[in-house]
Amino acid sequence: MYLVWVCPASRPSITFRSGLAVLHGVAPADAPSWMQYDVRLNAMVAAGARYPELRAWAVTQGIEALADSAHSFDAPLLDLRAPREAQQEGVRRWMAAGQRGTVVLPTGAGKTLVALLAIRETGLNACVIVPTRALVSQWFTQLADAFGAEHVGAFYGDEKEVRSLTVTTYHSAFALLERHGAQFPLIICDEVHHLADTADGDARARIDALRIAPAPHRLGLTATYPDGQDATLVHALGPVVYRRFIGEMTDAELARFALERRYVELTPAERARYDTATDRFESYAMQSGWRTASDEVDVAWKRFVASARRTPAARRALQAFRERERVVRMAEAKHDEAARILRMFPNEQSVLFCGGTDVAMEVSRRLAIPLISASTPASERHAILAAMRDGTLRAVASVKVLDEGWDVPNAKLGIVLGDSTRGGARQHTQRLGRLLRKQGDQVASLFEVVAAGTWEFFASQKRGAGVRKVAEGQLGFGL
Amino acid sequence: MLSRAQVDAFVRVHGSVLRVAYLADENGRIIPFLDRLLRLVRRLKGRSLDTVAEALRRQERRVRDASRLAGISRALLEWCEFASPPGAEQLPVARQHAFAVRGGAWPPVPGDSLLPYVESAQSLGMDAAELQRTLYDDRPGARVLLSVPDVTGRALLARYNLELARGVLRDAVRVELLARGGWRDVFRAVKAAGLMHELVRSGKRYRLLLTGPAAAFLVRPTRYGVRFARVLPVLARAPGWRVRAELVRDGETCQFVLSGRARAIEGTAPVGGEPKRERFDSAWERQFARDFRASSWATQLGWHLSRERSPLSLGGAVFLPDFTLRHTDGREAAVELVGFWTPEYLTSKVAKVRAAGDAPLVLVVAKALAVGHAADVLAELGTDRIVWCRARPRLGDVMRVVERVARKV
Repeated sequence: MYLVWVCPASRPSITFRSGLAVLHGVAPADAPSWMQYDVRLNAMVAAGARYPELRAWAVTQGIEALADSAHSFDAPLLDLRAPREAQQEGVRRWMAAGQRGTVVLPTGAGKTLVALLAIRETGLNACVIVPTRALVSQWFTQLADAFGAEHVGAFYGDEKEVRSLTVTTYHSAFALLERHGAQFPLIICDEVHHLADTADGDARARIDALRIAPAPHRLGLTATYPDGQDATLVHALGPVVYRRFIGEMTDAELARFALERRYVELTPAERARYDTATDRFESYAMQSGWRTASDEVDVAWKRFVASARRTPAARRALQAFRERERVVRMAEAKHDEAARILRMFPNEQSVLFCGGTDVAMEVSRRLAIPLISASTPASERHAILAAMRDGTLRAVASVKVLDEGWDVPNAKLGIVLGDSTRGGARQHTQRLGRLLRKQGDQVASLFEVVAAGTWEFFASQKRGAGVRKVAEGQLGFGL
Repeated sequence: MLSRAQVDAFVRVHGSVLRVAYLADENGRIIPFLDRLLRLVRRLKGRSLDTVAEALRRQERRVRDASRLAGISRALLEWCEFASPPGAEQLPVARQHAFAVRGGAWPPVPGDSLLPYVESAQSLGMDAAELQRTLYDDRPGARVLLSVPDVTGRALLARYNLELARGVLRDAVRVELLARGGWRDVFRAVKAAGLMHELVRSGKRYRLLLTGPAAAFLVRPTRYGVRFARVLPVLARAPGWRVRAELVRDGETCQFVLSGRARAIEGTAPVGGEPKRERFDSAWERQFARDFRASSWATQLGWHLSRERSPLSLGGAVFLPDFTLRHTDGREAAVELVGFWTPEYLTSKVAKVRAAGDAPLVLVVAKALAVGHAADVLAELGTDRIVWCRARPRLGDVMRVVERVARKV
């Protein structure tokens, strides 16, 4: 005999289960009007977010809550940074608003410290939800530094460790809160503008995690609040409780920087592979005419990739294209040039930005420096970034992850060995931005290592055009 | 599970019905090709996942549709067993040590690239160059192929088609299952997937309606689609099964229906897994089934023994009885053998039997164990539906009680 579920309790009780606020043992007519009967549970149910309301109603009726215990968090805040006036005021207003609502502060104004103060003030277990894996890593590090690593877990991808303070992505938040929602009375959402009413497709469904979470206390953080498109946001988190504009903040200054591009030659063997692949790809492009069609470039490219699934000739051309990219990405001379640049700045900490995991792994092996990629567990990233901060490690190789949302103020040397966007100016600017946190009079240096006589020349021109706008008023030599 | 691109290339929606272009061995060339892929992968035992995947990708030159090959390769690789290479668990520590050594000997100069690895390599019993080469062999792509399923190209074909169907369920909001047997594993899979169900009697069988717990309150009700897909391989091991799903694709609702059977019909596209025979849980069950089949009189009286484990819905809970006895006149009774118990097991079972009310359920209990507290608990149930036995269940005793309690359902 196999028991599938336990019979519902006959006496009235409430519980949170699988994203639902559940009321057992009460007739539909006697239950709150916003609940509905669920034949699967033989009980009245509502979305998990209404659990606090159900609990308040149950107290008035003398109904007990099953397995409902306080989840307090009382570890001391180890972060010794003195909060600024804006941070303190933001937390005070949020507390006064019933511990629900959004605090809007400009970039660089220290939104994370607002969250740390909120955790300390409420003394509750918290789930921090962020848009990207890179930000999981950053929040993990900051929470671990502030409260101790033993209290902090990360829940995303293959890493699923639930602790008193758990950081997750909007993508994984649903799975975490559906199962462990009752453990987190406080939810902190970073970059809440991602939950604006205008969000579409999968992004629109990010709000689902907040719909099923039973947390009564909710804090939103952002620099760019979606005014006028915030109905969803207000319903899920509460209204804006505090806001400061960038003109009101005076202490977010940037370091000066220098840019330099260095060209390297492919080896004869690499050049031969590159030329063969280029010929094969170009001859197919000429014959098929896909590139001269009147469509937009990306539409034509998508059609080419789709045709590669069904047409052997197109498939061979696509393989040639990928081979050409690989030759450039893995060019031998780039490793030598990177080592040469590192020797030019022996006292600087540096980041080597790579275009793919394969090349980042090769750089890591040759130079014996750590690698951070999307698959590096948050705890390992935390250890690497901590070692960078205390100076034990002098350089780190990265693939996309460190392009945005991390903080190693001492790193002032960046070496770009390739990109994942074929000359995307935004990625390049973000990479530069990682080096610009002001540290005294230190000047940041960003080197680009480019394979001469290849498509990468044009990609680097595109990158440079974007960065030149940022470089106005800066040193900007070499481009 | 196949990627959306690997599935969507073979899906068409006609009106409100979604159809999948399953792969069939129409010209007799597909199965030999799949056999060849299996032989190729078997030859690569001990090689890394990256190597095996690349070897399969290179077969693109033999096929017209690369999406099919990519899907088949993925289905095959997920069927194989991979494991971390020996010593991989020590690599994170070795890396950390090597990086720290390099941090103390900064910057790198020509000729010292192996220096940071020397100490860690010695402790691992390898040379520095080898450690440098295998530094990231704890990554997923470096796992080595341990075993390949001992199956034919036809089984791989059925598996690939099943994976296509699983991919379709990614967009499901509600799924209805019908099966002949195999319910125990299905319920286990439903529970593990975090889904909720309703059980609806349909003639002699039951339909299981699966839904996501909080689907009614979500912006994206297809959020549970991947979980429905997890149940399908378990269902596909039943001797016969059917799935009817309600999908939402691009904001439009459509239906998807799939039936499977253990043996594929020649020339059609087989969809399914390896059928699993339900085993007996105890010697009592095996003995009772053997006794029933050996006796001619029970069959002559019109009774048939079924091992289908049809679920029995009882007051919001579900029983999966050991046997169902069905009479030709439409009456039936469930039989549950209770040979050994712990106090908790017995208490739970008695609660369920009580919840069953007047459902046609017969309990066969070992008398030797019914002493003390156990006897008191069983006494609460009354004696009309309990068959006491000494060494093993006696068929005649059981059938007498079955005759009394059985009724038309």
